[in-house]
Amino acid sequence: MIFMEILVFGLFKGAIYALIAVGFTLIFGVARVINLGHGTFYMLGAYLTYVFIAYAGLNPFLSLAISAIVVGFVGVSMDYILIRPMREMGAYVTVVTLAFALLSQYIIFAIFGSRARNIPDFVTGNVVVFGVNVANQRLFVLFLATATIIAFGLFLKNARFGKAIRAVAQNPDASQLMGVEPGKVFAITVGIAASMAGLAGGAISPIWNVEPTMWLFPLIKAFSIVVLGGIGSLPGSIIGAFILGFAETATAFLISNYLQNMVSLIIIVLVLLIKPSGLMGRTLRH
Amino acid sequence: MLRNIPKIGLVFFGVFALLPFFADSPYILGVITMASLYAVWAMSWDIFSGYTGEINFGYAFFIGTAAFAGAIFGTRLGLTPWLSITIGALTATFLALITGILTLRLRGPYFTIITMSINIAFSELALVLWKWTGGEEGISGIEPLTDGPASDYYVTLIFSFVVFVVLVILSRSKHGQILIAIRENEDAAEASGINTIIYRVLMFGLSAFIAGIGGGLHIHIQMHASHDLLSLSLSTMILIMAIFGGMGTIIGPMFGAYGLSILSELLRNLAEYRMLIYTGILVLTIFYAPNGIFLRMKTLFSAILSKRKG
Repeated sequence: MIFMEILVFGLFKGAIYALIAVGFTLIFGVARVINLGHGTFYMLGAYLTYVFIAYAGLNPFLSLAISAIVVGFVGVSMDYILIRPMREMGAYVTVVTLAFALLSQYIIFAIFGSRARNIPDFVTGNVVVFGVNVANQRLFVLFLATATIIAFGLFLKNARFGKAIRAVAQNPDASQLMGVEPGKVFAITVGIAASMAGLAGGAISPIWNVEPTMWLFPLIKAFSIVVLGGIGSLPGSIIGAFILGFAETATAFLISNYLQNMVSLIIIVLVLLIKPSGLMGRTLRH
Repeated sequence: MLRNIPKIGLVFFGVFALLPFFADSPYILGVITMASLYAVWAMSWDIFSGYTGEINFGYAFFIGTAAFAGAIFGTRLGLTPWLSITIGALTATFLALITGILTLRLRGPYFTIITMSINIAFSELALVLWKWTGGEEGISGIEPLTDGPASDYYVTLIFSFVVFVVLVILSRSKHGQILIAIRENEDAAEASGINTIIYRVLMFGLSAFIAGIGGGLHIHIQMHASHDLLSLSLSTMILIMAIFGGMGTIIGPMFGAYGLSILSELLRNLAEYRMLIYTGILVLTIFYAPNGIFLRMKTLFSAILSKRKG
């Protein structure tokens, strides 16, 4: 019985993590930047959704969609304004993305305060899945995440711009020779990744806490997933996301609720000690 | 060797040494005492991160573990402050070396994230072990360092000065050059026969040790070991002070720390916005003065001076 609960809740967690991690890996794989502001996109998605629902009275689904799009634009701007100028200076790229994350936290704190915000479920009610009582909101999140990732996968494979992204990820210079503008691709990639993270944040906002420090752990977990799955590997990130989702849920049910967050930290340490390239990654030249 | 020390640094310390004769309110002395500790932390952060180029984002780990180790041993075994400070610093150094086995292999964002993670992990751990650490409240009733704000002031000022001199000399010595060589091109440095691992480990340990002493001084001056000494906020503030002042210069972080500490007090009324302002300063610094304000000011002054002579 507990096993079923771990399976079901782990699945939901994994799906949300996958949505966040895929974007994170994407930014690295394409723009070669480890964007420490990725958790911030997740946070902005949640807060924007809240604002649209609570202050503009919009339908939750519409709020979610608009938030995801807005966060996408924030991502693109972030690339142009913060990342692009710093691309030359190695260590500073990391610092500037982190500065973006911190700045956003403090701005959100200044506007909204530290009290967690309450967002009503988009879909109410429960359902019983494999003998486990599950809120419909979670099912919604699972379907949304799965659909988004599949859609994105198809986009990458078949759409013209998707192919451009893959080309730039493989070889920016050669892509340029083929008529693709790497700079534009970087920016839009960050935008897409940001959108996905924002979507995740907004979708899960009724269930998880919405407060100004909510960006930190998703970032660390995304990093942990990417390290586990292998940096630069999209399938690796998805697999890693579910592994983390199940591991955390199992820890919460079997050991202690508080230790959940430690799982990602332990994974980072273990993977980097044993097999730094992760499950499926290419090795990272520094 | 002694002429390596920037005269402006000496002047600065000279001025502050005389300060208590002009302004002896405990409040002002307290502000500068704290600023001296921040300066120590910023400088010792810099000797590792500024010179190896690896941004340590969890510096409070060294400070906090030293503080709590010292506090716990000190209060439970009734040790004198100097002994507990030493134990604290050694604990921090020991932990630095242990975690260094993992963290020092990593580069760039990996190093940043793992130092951040370790900081957070220990911060949470301290809450879990609240029976020992006092949880959110921390540990109170710690023996005072000296018998008054003025002597506390001088102890920290002198310590800050000593750290300044030692680290400046170290950074401008052959060893500093080697660190810079490692930062710029590790493979070339290795090929030149430099044992990069030993250098990283030693500097990391030194960085932790000095931070630990600072932590120990802090708890005895405040007579309280606060959980904030393990916080990511503290790590962030120190990093901002160092980058604002100018990474990789030692003197830059020193000025950055004193400057931002004093600024922070002046903006006391905007306390809630403090971190926001600090982070804003960080972003502005990265864009408009990436080498820090100290070097910026230096180039500005030389430009002005040479125009005069011109």
